[in-house]
Amino acid sequence: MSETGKNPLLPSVHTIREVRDETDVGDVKTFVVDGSFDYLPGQCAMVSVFGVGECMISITSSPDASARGRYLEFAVKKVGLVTEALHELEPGCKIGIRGPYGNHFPFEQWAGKKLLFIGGGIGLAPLRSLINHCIAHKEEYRYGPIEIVYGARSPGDLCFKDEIMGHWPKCEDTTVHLTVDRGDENWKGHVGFVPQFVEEIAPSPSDCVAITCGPPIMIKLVLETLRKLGFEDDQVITTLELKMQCGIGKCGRCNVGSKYVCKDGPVFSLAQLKQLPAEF
Amino acid sequence: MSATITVDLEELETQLAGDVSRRFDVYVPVDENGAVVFRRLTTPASGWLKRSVSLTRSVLPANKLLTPQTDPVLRFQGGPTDYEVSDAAASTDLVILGVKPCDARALKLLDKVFADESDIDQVYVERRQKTVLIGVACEKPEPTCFCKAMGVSPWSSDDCDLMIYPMQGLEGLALKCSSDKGQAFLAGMHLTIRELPAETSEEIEAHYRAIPQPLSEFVGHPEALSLDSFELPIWGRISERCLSCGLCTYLCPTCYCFAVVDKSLGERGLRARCWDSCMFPDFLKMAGGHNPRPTKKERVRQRFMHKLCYTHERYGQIFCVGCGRCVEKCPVGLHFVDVLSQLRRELAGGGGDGL
Ligand SMILES: Cc1cc2nc3c(=O)[nH]c(=O)nc-3n(C[C@H](O)[C@H](O)[C@H](O)COP(=O)(O)OP(=O)(O)OC[C@H]3O[C@@H](n4cnc5c(N)ncnc54)[C@H](O)[C@@H]3O)c2cc1C
Ligand code: SF4
Ligand code: FES
Repeated sequence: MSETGKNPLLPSVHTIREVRDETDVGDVKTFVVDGSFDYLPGQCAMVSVFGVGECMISITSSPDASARGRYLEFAVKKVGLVTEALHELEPGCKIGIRGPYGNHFPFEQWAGKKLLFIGGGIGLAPLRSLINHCIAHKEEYRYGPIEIVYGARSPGDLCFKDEIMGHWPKCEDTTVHLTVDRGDENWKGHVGFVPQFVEEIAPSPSDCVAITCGPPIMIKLVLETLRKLGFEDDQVITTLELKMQCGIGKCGRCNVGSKYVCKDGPVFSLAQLKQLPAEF
Repeated sequence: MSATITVDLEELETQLAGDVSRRFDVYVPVDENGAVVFRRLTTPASGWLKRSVSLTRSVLPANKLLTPQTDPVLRFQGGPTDYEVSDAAASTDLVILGVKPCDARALKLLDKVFADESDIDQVYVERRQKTVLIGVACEKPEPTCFCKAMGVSPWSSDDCDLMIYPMQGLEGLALKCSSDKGQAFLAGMHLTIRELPAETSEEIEAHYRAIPQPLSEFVGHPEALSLDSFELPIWGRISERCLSCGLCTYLCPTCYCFAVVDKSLGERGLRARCWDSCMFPDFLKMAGGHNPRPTKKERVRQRFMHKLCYTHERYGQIFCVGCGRCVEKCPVGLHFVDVLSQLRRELAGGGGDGL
């Protein structure tokens, strides 16, 4: 027996630099880990706790920030075995990371366009990488105005508060619309579900690309709203989430028709999704 | 293609069990209480070669030796702040003797998945490079075999490095070399080689060609399915009797789905690829309970659409080699031949309920 030396499932070991609580109830944490690699917004990585397992997580840091600070950021919602084990970890602990995997948001194709980002809950994680990238390269790609619609169940569930309430609204030509399903005594903003909120804001589809990420039910209703507003299928970009094991199109887990979400996705236009069997 | 030759059976047997076994892990089919399984050749009793090449197809496909049921990825030790992780993927110089042409073809198909796509699986590729496949022409196909219908010739040397023709009435054992690797391997054994005249070579092929395979005639030459077949009523109807046992996928030479599983004992642990099956209810179940294939209908459809449509769209090939294992072993008879014939009827507009 000899080692092959090119094992595609072998992660590199990274040290956690910082852990940030994103939500009041503590179900979402952002992990900042030492070390980086080249990737593009929308790409993911397999993050693992040794002895527990792996899970696919979007890289939420923007490529520019990662390269500068030599770190990667992952925002992880606690939902099961691996994500729970991750939540137990503190700065200094080591985790496995392999990637980047999947395709990326086609931001190179949006020159001259208005950008409309629609996110719900932890679904802002992949969008955050993209939004920060688009803001940083706004001049270069000659993007038009940027609008961000983001919602969560309650004010305490809104993620990335520094950006949604601090940094982004201050950026040139950038508007942020926040909403929550249920307000509280301190919440002065909009109350209501994301899809209805988008309908109220009624963005014009002309020269606009809409990019949406969130829980499946939100995505479904947002797609419906966008259609009503006059968006064509190729103007709408979203991501698919399917169970994954390998991340490289080999384990046969994440196919929808002949596409592997881990390799040919997770980013698809609505036009592309309509070519696939409805099994996701 | 080189000529057919003969070698001395005993000389080959001695070489394989002796010098070759020192350089390679040699696996051969053996009969264990009526079940044909591939075992490492260690201290064989004389006459083993003749027995091995006369056996029928193995329970598990020979090609699974390259993608074992539990296949270590990494080992680790230590605690959360000081893990030491080591690569556990390994390959070895391997000789698999007695590979049936269907299983050899399956490897060609798996190459499309693991070696021809943009993300190459180097572990698989290295194993493949280090493996010498010695095929054996099919003397006695099982009643459930239908490889000819799927484009496999049960005497063809195309997908192996060397091919054995265990035909009676020849002086010595007939062999054919079909790759450079096979040529080098053969040369390394320094056997006494006798080249056969072209007519004898043709006679051998004619002998194998004439061996009947009735099920292939029944199956005909199935065509790939189009995506429209996704909506056919057949899936709901046939899937009712499926037991979700997964046997069909574990026995299938072209099935390759795996999970990545961690196991630890105290401060030491292992991560491994482990066979998995799209026929299991939880295969796609996600945290939060969402399952895109919640019933047997979607899972049975996935199995057949994957092999007859998706792999054809992606790799240009139907992923069935007609080995007949699912036909023989599915406890409720929900197998390829039945489904193909029902599909044919349904696509012709007839509906129908089985053979
Ligand atoms: C492309 C992609 C990007 C993702 N990005 C993020 C992100 O940025 N942040 C985040 O919190 N979550 C993200 N997820 C979801 C995340 O992968 C799952 O929540 C996670 O795998 C659950 O693992 P678990 O072990 O905690 O749950 P368990 O239910 O205990 O999981 C058991 C097994 O199922 C798999 N699994 C379970 N649910 C999912 C799921 N929804 N998707 C994929 N595999 C699943 C796990 O990998 C594991 O193998 C993403 C998923 C995909 C496919
Ligand atoms: S088709 Fe047959 S072998 Fe396959 S899972 Fe169903 S019952 Fe088991
Ligand atoms: S996760 Fe393995 S094929 Fe996509």
